[in-house]
Formats: sequence, C-alpha cells, structure tokens
Amino acid sequence: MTKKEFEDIYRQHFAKMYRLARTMLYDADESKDVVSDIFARLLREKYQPQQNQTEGYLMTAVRNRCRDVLNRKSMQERVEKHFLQESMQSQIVSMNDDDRLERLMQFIESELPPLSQQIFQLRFLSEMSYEEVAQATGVSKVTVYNHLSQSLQRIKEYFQQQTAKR
Amino acid sequence: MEQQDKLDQLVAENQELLALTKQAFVKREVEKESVPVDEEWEKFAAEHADELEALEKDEPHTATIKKLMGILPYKVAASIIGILFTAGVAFAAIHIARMVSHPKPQTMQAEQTISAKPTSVLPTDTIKTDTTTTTMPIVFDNVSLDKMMPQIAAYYNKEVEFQNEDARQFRFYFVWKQEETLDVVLHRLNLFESITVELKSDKIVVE
Repeated sequence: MTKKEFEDIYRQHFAKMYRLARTMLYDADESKDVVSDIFARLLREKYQPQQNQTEGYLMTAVRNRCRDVLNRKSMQERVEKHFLQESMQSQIVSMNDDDRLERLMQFIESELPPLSQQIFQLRFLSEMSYEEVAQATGVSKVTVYNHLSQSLQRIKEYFQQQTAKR
Repeated sequence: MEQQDKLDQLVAENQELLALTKQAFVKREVEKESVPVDEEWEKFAAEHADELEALEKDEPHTATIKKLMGILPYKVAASIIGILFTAGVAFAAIHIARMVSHPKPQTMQAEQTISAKPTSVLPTDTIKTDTTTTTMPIVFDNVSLDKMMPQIAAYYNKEVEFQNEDARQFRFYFVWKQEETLDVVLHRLNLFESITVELKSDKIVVE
C-alpha cells in the first residue's frame, strides 16, 4: 500500500466511520479518537483489506472499538448519558443497525406529538436535564414526565410490532 | 420531589429504549453536520509522518538518502557562489587598491586576507548540517520481539527478560528513534495491545 492509497482509504471512509462512532459514543472527540486509532493500527499492521471488503472491515472495527470504550464507562455515566449496552442490544430486534435507527426516527417524526419530539431533542442533543427541559419548553415537569412516559410506551409498541413482523 | 423519583424510575426502566432513541436522534443530527475530513487527515498525517513515509519506500534509509541528495546540490551551488563572490570581492579590492594607492602594498595584502576568510567558513557549515541528520530512526519491520528487544536493551545498557515466552515470537512494525529516552520507547511499545513492557531495575521485563 502506498501513502496515496492509504490517504484515499482514509478520505473515503472517515466521515462514515466518524458518524457511526458518534451514534454510539455521542462525544465528538471520543469518536475522532476511535477512528484515528483504527487508521493508526491499519497503518502499523500494513493490513490492506480487499477493495470490496474495506468498508465492512472498517465499520466493524469502529463498532468493536466503541463497545470497548463503552465497557470502560461507569454505570452512572451509562445511565445518565443513555448509552446503549451490549446486553440490551441483543434484547431488541436484530434488525440491520443503520436501518433500525432510521426507521425509528421516521416513526418518531411521523407519530409522536411535536412537544415529545422537542423534549427528546433538548434532552439528547442539547444535553439538558429534565428540569431544564421543562423550563425551556415552558411546561411543568409533570407534563415532561407524561410526554416521556407516553412516547416510550409508543416506541415500545413500535418495536414489538417490528419483532412480530419478522 | 416525588415527580423526580417517578422520572428517575421511568428513565431507569426504559434505559434501552431511551438509548436507542438517543442514537436515532444523534444519528440524524450527525448526518446533517459536515465532517472536517481534510482537517482530520492533515492532523493524522502529521502525527504518523514516519509510518506514512515508511509506506512510500519499504526501505526508509533510501528515502532519507534521497532527501539528502535533494538538499545537497543546493548547498554545493551555494558554496560555489559564495567562493566566486568572495573571490570577486577580493579581486576588485586588489584592483581598487592598486589603482588608488600604488605606494601602499601592505593594506592591499591585509584586505586580501580578510576578504578571503568567508570562503573557508562555507564548506565547514555544510559538513556540520550533514552530520546531524545521520541519526536516522531504526525501523523494525515485522521483526520478532526476540530480535528487537535485545538490540534496544543493549543500546540503553539493560537486559531483557521474557516472562511470557510466547511474546518472543510476536512480530511488530516499530520505529525506534535512538535519541528517545528508554522511558519513551517503552511507553510506545506499551501501545501495542498484546504486550506489556516494564523496566525493573536493570531489566526490561516483557509480559
């Protein structure tokens, strides 16, 4: 492999690998580290996967590396930041990873009330506490609770339906 | 307060659903963001310059020699120009001195020696810079620890002990810069997941 070939592989796959890492770890810096580590190892071992297997190889590497990172996190952090754990992953339908999230998002956007979506967004993307979410949306905590509780119920049913289909 | 408890309980019970939902949201968000690939590549390339260079040429030595060859002609040309220039100045000085003052040949001689000095300075300068670049890193390319470690240890005046005999046959790609301290080298070796290297008094212990 020449330097140019390596650079091509890097440029071609970086964005996709980074996005996958972000989806699992949420944190931008941690995600960049994961991807960077994988390329460093690739460089060190001078391993060149076959052309059509490169993407699969790299994406699997990202997934495994992210799991390692998550396993090292404390229980408290996992609960607070809503990390997906391996044991949970197997409980829920073994649909294609990418697809599953895509369809879940479509379901949320089409089926859940706008306020529920907004609560999720503030909580997940702006990383607010539920207290702050209540303030930002101008509703009481009870309302936040009700929306969460109903949304989760709907999502649960959605997944049950998905499993039943298979 | 009671509301908080209820919330906590709800969150705990639905941890996996929340996690999946968060993933879905983050995924959607990240897809909208632009990823700074160029920037990241520049950073990576700078951090792993040695290894990338090694890719380019299987023999890193030839690469550095080539680099030197690239610099050399400039230096040679520069020193030739320097010599010609000082010679020219000296020649002009002689000429002017001869035209202006015939009766004082001593000053002419003095000027000649002063102007001749820079010619001797230039060549020594080029020699100096060449010698500093000769400490090239040693590249172990797919070399077993069995062969690599004794070499490194000997350089730092230490001995090697393999606690795990299997480790002897582990092969690595490792760039060893001799100007690095032993601590730094051991730290870099420890970055390999499969081995742990430790310094115990006079021995480098491999586990």
